[in-house]
Amino acid sequence: MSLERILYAEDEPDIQAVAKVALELLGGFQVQVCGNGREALAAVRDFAPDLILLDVMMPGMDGPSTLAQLRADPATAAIPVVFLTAKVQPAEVVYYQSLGALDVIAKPFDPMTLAAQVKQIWSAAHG
Amino acid sequence: MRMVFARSFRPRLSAAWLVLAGGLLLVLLANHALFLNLRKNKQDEFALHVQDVVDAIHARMRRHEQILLGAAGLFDASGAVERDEWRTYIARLRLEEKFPGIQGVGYSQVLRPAELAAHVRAVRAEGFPDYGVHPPGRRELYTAIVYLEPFRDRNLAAFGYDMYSEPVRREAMRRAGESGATRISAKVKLLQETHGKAQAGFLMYVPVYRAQRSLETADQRWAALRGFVYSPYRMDDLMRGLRPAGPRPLAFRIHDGFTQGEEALMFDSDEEAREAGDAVRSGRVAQFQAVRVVEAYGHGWTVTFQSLPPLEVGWISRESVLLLAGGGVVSLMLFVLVGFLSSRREQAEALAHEMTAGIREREEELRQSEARLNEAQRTAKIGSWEYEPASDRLVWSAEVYRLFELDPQQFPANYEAVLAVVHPDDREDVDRAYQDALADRRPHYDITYRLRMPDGRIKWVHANCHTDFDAAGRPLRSRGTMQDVTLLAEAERQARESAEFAESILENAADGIITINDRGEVQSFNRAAERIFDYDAQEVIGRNVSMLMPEPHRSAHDGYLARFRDSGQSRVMGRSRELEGQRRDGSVFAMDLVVSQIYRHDEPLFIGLVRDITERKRVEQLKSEFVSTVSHELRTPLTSISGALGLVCGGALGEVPPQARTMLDIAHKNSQRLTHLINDLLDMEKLAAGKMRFDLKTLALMPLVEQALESNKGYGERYRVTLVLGERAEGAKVRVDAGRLQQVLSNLLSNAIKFSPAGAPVQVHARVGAEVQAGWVRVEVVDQGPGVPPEFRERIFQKFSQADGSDARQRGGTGLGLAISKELTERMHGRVGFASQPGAGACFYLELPLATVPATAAPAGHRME
Repeated sequence: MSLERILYAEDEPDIQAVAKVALELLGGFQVQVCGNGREALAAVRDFAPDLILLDVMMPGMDGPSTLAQLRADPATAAIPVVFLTAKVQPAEVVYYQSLGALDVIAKPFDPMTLAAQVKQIWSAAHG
Repeated sequence: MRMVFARSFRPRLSAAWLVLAGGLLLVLLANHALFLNLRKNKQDEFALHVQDVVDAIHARMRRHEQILLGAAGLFDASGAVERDEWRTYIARLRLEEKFPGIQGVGYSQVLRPAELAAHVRAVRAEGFPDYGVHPPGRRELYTAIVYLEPFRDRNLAAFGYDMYSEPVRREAMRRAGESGATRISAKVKLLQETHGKAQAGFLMYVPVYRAQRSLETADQRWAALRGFVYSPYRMDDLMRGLRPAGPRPLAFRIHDGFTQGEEALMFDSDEEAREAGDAVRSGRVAQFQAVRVVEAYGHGWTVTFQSLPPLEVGWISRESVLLLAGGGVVSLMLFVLVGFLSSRREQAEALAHEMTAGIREREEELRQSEARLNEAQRTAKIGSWEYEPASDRLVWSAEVYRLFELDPQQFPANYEAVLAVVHPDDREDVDRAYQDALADRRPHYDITYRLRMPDGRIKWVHANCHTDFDAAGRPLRSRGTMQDVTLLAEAERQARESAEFAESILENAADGIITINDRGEVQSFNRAAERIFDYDAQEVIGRNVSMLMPEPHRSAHDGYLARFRDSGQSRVMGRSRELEGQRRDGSVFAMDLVVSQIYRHDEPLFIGLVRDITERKRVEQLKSEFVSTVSHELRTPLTSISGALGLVCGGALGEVPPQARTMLDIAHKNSQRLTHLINDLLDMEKLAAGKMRFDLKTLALMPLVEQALESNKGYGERYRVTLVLGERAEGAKVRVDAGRLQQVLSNLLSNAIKFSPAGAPVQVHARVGAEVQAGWVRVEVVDQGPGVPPEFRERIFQKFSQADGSDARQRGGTGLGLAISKELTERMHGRVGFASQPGAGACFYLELPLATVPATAAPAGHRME
């Protein structure tokens, strides 16, 4: 499996824009951006991403809730999820992983390395 | 009883014994006197008996002489006395009847040799053909017993006997003849002793003379001698005649002459007694002895008398038995009595002595006691007083005068004078108290009041008053004590003030103060606590403090107390804890509790300081929320700014015109700086709030150091500073949170890079060894920058202290890095420090305790590019 399509949920439009550019331009991924968890869930079927990037702090349904929904649905349960958040203490990482996330990327992120980070996480999981 | 008697008797060498001895002595003496007396009596008796015997002998002899004289008279009167005349005459005497012992009375004719033959013929012619004068033989003179009545039995043998032929008889006859007096012979063996036991005998001769002849001289008499009237006596028979009725109480012997030889023994009463079956002296020494010489008729007998037991008296006689017994008993009684008395007396004396000694002791004790009392009064400042209301007479002890500071000589000891010294404010009370006590007939009361000294000083006095009343209720006398209690009153006042002060503090403290004992029972509950828990103190005091806690603390509290009681250890002592409290209405709130311990009367008491931190927690909560809100709110735009700029400056969106590029770089750099600042601020906030979590693991140090170097390599390159790893502490393990350690190392490294001149290396060493404290490892970051100026040395690790603000802005940095590093390091139980000389670079280091000791320090010189 190769990593080509990434579904990205982030409520902050500017960050959306930056991340999208970083991932598309530097990572060569196909990126679909959503503004919140619900939109992400709605978009998952149609977009069929290889990986889902979720911001943790989102209004309405936050990252973990969205993850839970994804895992609840067998169709989406297998899609790897990576959280984007400022809280990256090891314990928190463990916590998110226990929820089912693959890994956590710290915010603020360096747009120049974001794509590489995602690739690295993907490789670590699949390689 | 006997024991008592014996004990009280206690005879010693004392009067008692003397009395006994004296008594016995007296008794003995008395007995002796008695004995002597008795003996004297007996002796006199003996003497009487002796005299009796002697007299009796004398008497007998005389009577016998009388007989003979009578018979001789017959011859004198008759001229010639015929045989039958003689017989008749003698028969009339009734000799055997009246005169036992006398063998007979006889007439011995003196014959000249020429007359002999004729005589014999004449006698024969009377009818005695066998008559002859015997013993035959030629002698100068012959006598012949011609008459002897009773002429029978033994007497027959004497018929014709010539007594003159026998020397002993001859002696007596001669003397009788020459003297004309009756004469007795010495001891002879009588002719009559023909059979039976031979007795000693003697003869008595009475000379008969021819008439009408002159008898003046011995020769004349001898020439005129016709014959003798005589009697032979057998001694025993004679003496038998002398026997008194009953046993004689003495024994005597008659010895012929003046000797006491055996051959001279004529009579021994023992023999007589033995024959009679009487008591005999058996070899004993007689108590009394007497010797009498019985002289009779020219002859002496020695009569030796010896007393026999009946006439003797022993020292212990019948009378003396009585005396001894009586005297002994009396002596004994006296002994007992005296002994008793003297022992009693001794006891009494001893008792008296003891009592005297006791009295003396007690006097001494009394004296000492008085002295001590005075001393005590003086020390305790208590004096005693007496007052008679009726006479207004007041008596004070020395101490009271001292108390009132008055002179006994000058003080008019009366009621008014006393009141005058009492403090004016108390005067009425003191007066009224006494008057009321008298009026109400109250026997006791006490009162405390003030005195005012002339110089204005105040003294406190505590007085006791006891009043005796008579039957009618009138007061007789009051007495009591007075004590200077000024110090006491002062102390009380101070104590009260202190207590009030302490109370006031307690009550007005802003925090709740609750004290409990080791069983958890509330001892005190101040006003603030009342406010916090909404209870009144009296509702809580005495009950268990757990009523102020919700579960589970309520149940656990007893456990804490029990554990503390048993082990003396506490988890909570002196440390502030956040707990939950429960108010009266059941609502639970957050409280901050600090517990400390005191001891009161050796019992532990716990003091809890309680603060309702609901507000604080709310504020904290708000702050925390604010912080995270701010953090999020701040970070979010920053992410966008930094991200966008990053992309552009990174060339991801194509070439950027150079001037625009510079501006964009500036913008990017500053947005990054903002990010760091916010991160640092948030870190600081978390550290300060204790909210930062450390994930401590035991990790090898060197890989972490290498990782830090690697991460900061890029940063270094930007400033053309190389990072060099020098000494390695190979094998050193430390217990750290990896991320945070990285943060610290990065901080030090970035500082070093920031302050290093371009091209200069920054050296990193990890050391274990001589300079480093045992058990610790030090990571040094050495730069060759300007060093730390002296004015910043003190506050280099404080927040926002940057040496030379302008310089720092050029180099970037938030001013929080070292402060955060210090906090982080210390949280990991390490230390940070630095060594620097201005102008000579700086060495910043962090030290961590080793989790294990490393094997060796690796050689220096590993260079990282």
